[in-house]
Amino acid sequence: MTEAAMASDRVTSGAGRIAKKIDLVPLVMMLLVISILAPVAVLVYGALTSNPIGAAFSGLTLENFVEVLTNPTYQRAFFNTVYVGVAATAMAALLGIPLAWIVVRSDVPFANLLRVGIMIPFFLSPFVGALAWTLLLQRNVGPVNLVLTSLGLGQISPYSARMIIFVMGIYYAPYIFIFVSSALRNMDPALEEAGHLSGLNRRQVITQITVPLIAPAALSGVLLTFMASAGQFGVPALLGMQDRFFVLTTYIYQLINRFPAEYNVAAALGIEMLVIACAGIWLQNRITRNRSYTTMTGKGFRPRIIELGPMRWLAFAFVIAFVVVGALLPLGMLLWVSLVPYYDATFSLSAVSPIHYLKIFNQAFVWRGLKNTLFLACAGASIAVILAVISNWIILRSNTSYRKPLGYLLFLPAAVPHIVLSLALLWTYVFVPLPIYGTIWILLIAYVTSYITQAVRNVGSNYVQIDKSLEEAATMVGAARLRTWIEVTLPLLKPGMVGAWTLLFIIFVRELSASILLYSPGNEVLPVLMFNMWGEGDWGGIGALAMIQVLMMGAVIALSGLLFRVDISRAS
Amino acid sequence: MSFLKVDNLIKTYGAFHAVDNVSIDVERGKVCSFLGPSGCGKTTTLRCIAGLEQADSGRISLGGRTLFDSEKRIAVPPEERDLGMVFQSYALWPHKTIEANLSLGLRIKGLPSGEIRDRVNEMLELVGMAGTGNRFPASLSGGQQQRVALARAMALRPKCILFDEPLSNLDLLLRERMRFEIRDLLVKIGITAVYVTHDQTEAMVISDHIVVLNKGKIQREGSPSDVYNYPRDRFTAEFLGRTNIVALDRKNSNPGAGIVTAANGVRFSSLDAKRLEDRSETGEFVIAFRPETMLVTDEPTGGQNCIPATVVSSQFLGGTTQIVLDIGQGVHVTAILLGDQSRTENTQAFVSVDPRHVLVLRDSSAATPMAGTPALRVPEPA
Ligand SMILES: Nc1ncnc2c1ncn2[C@@H]1O[C@H](COP(=O)(O)OP(=O)(O)O)[C@@H](O)[C@H]1O
Ligand SMILES: [Mg+2]
Repeated sequence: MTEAAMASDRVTSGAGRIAKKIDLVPLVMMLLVISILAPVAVLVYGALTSNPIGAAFSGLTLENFVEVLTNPTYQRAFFNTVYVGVAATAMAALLGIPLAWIVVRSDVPFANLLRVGIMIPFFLSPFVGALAWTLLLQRNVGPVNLVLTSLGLGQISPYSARMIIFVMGIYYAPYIFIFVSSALRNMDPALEEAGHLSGLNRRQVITQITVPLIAPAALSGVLLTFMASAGQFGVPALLGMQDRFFVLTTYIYQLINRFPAEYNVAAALGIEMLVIACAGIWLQNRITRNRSYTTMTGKGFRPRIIELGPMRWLAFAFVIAFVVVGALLPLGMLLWVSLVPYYDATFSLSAVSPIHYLKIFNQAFVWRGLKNTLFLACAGASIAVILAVISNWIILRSNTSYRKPLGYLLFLPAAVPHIVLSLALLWTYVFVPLPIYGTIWILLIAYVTSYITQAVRNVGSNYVQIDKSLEEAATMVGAARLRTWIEVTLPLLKPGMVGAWTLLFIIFVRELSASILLYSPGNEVLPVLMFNMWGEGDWGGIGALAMIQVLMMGAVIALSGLLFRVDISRAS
Repeated sequence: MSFLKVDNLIKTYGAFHAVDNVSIDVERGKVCSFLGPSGCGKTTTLRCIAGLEQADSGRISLGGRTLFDSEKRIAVPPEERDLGMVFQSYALWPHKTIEANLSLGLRIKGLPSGEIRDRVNEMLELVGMAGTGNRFPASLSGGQQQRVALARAMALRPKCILFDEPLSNLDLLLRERMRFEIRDLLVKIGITAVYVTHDQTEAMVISDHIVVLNKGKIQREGSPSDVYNYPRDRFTAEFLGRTNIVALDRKNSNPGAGIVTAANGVRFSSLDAKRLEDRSETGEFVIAFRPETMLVTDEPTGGQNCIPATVVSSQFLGGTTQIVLDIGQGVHVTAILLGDQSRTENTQAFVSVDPRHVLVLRDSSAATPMAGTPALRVPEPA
C-alpha cells in the first residue's frame, strides 16, 4: 500500500469518526425539540383557536386571551397566583437563609443531624405536607387545633390562602436552604478574614462581604422557589379549592375537568403562566449574570465557624421547631391515621390495627399505582440521566456549533410550569397519531421533559469538575470516544449520576402537578391515588400510601448512600 | 531531515489568530521547546500537533506520515497519532491505580498481560517510581505524580512526546530539579519531544532547539545559546532574561563597520558586524546588551567601549550585585556583577561592555515583561 493510499484510508477513518460524532447531536436535538418545543407550539395554537381539542385546523382568534385578561375570575386567579407565590417564597427565604447560616456557619450542636432534618420536608413534598396539615388542623379533632383550644386560643382552618402560603413556605424552605448552604460552603473563608483585617467589624463583614457574596446564589434559589410555588398544584388544590380560592394551576385543572371542558381557555391560562415563569427566569438571569461568585469549584473550603455562645441553643431550638413543624408532626400524623381504623382525636396504642394497609394492598389499583410509580420513577430517572450525560458532553466537550442552542433548549423546560407542560403534551398527543395519549408513556414523556433541566444541571455540575485533560489523556493513549467514556468519564461521573438519579427518583415518586392532567384509568401513580382518596375522605388510605412513599424514598436514599456514598441531602 | 514537521499552521478562534502561520521542524531525538508569554499560542500549537484541536490550515507530519493536512483533508484522530502527552495538570485518572494508569493504553493496544506488566514496571523504574503501582494518584506528591504522568506518556513508546508546561504546578525547588531529570531522561531514551513552557530557564535546560512565540507568530528560533546570546528582536531579548535597551542614533551609526551610536551620544565600536540587524532601511532599531556582559570599574580599563557613568543605585542580591548606572543624558543601564561589588550612590564609575555582546535589534514592539524577569526600564534621553 502506498503512502498516499494509506493517507486516504486515514481520511475516511477520520471523517467517519467526525460524522459519527455529529450524528449524535442532531438526534438528541431532534428528540429535545420534539419533546420541548413542539408541545409549547401546539399549546400556543390551542390558545389561539376556539376549536375543540383534536379538531382540524381552522381560523385563529384572540378571544381566549381577551377572556383570560378581562374576566374578573381569571384576573383574580392570576393575582392569587402571584400573591401566593411571592408570599410563600418570602416565607421560604426567611426560613431557609437563617437555617443555612446556622447549620453551615454557626457552632449549633448536632449540625449534621439538623441538616438531614431540614431536608426531610423537601423529600416529603408540599403536597404530602398539605395533606398532613389538613389533618393536623381538622376542625375539633386535629391535634394542633386541640392544643390551641386547650390553650384558650381559637381554632385554625386549614382551608385558607394563609395556610397555602404557610405550607408552601415550610416545604420550599429546603430549596433555599440548599442554594444558600452550598454557597456558604463554597465561599473562601479568607475573603471574610481579609475583611476583618481591613478593619471591618463582625456586622460589617456580614453585610459587606458575606451577604453580597452569597446573594446571587440566594437569588437563584428565591426565583426558582417562586416559579415552583407559582406552579404548585397539590397545595392550592387541597387547601384552596374548598373555599373557591383559585390559582392558575387549579383553575386549569378545573377548566379541564368540568363539562364541557374548556381546553382553549385553559391553554390561554397556561400561556399566561408561561409568561410569568419566563419573567422569573429573565429576572434571575439579569440579576445573577456574571455574578456567581461561589461557583462549584469542588474545592470544599472549611467554613469559618462563628461561636454563638448560649445563643446556639436558641438557634438549635429554631431548627428543631422547623423540623417538628415540617417533618415530625406531619409524619407522625400520617403514620397515626394509617394505623388506627378511624381517627377520633384519641391516641391509644390499643386502637392500632393494620386495617388500612390490608385494605389498600387488597386493591388491584393500589398495586397498579405502586408498579406505575416505580416504573416511572426508575425509567424516568434513568432516561433523564442518560440524556443529561449526553447533553453535557455535547455542551462541555464537543466542538459543534449546536452547543449554544442546545444549552438554551435544555433550559426551556425549567420555564414551563409542569401543569402547563402536561397540558401542552395533552394537546400534542391528541393530535399526534401515536398510541401515547392515555398510556403510561405520556407520563414518562412528561416527567423526563419536565425535569430534564434539573438533570442536566445536576450532572453538569459534576461534569465541569472533571478536568478535560483526564479525557484527553485517555485519547492520547489510544482510547477512542466510547472507550474514553467507559474508562474515564463514566467512572468519574458515577457519583454525580447516582446523585442525580436518586434526586429524580424522589421527585418522580411524589410528582403530582404533571400527572394530574395526564393520567388515565389504569395509569394512576401514587400521588394521584392520594389526591383521589382525599376527594373521598379516605384518610387512613392516604396515611398508608404516604408511609409507603416515604419507605420507597428512604430505601433509595439509603441504597445510594450505602452503595455509592452519595449524600443526597447535599445534592442540589 | 526533520522528524516532526509543522508547516504553515493556522488556528483561529473567530477573528483571533491564536496560531498564525507557524512552521517548525524538529529533528529525530531532539527536544524542541515552545517558549513565549502566556496566551501566545503555545498550548494551541501543541494541541494541534496532538490532534486534540483541529487547525484551520497547514500540515503536520511525523516520521514521514501525514497527521494533518488541511488541503488533502487529512486529520488523523489523536489516538492514532503515535504521540504521548504530559498534561499541565498531569491528568492522572484519580479512580485508577498507578499501574492501571500506565497500562490502559497498553491494554487498548492489545498487548499480552505479561508484557504489559513488564512494560509498566520498566516505565516506573525509569522514572524512579518502582513499587508504587498499587497506589492511587491522590496518595502521591506533586513531583511523584509528575513522574508517573511522564511514565504513562512513554509507556506506549510513542514516536514523539508532548509536554504542556508540566512543571508549572510544582514548587520552585522541585521545578529546578525536575528540569534536569526530564532532560536527562529524554536524552537517555533519545525520544523526540516538544516542550511548552513560559519559563526561559526551563526551556534552556531542557531543549536542543527553542522556538520563541509571540502573538501566535514565531519570533526567533535556534539553539538555546543562539537564541539567548543573539536575539534578533527586542521581544526575544527581553523575554529571555534581562537586557539593556538603548535608543539608536542611526545617522551616526555604521553597522557595517561595527560602529553604532546611542541617541545620547555614547559610541560602541569593534562590534561584530554580522550580528547587527541594521540591514533593512525600514523599521525601528535599538541597541541592546545584557547586564551580565558588563564590567564596572573605578578607573577606565583602557579597553574599548568604556563609558563614564554615575551610580544611581546599587543592590547586593546575595550571589550577584545589581548596579543601575546613568551613562549620560539620563539613560540608565543595569549591570549585574558576580559577588558583592556594591558601590556608593552618586559616585563616578566606568562601565565596559563586551563588544561581542552589543547587539542592534529590531524594535519588535515592547515585549510584555514576565513575572520574575522584569524588563529593565530604559528612559529615553531627555
Ligand atoms: N477555545 C478557545 N476559544 C477562544 N480562544 C481561545 C481558545 N483557546 C485558546 N484561546 C486563545 O488563544 C490564545 C492562545 O492560547 P494558548 O495556546 O492556550 O496560549 P498559551 O501560550 O498560554 O498556551 C489565547 O489568547 C487564548 O485566549
Ligand atoms: Mg498554555
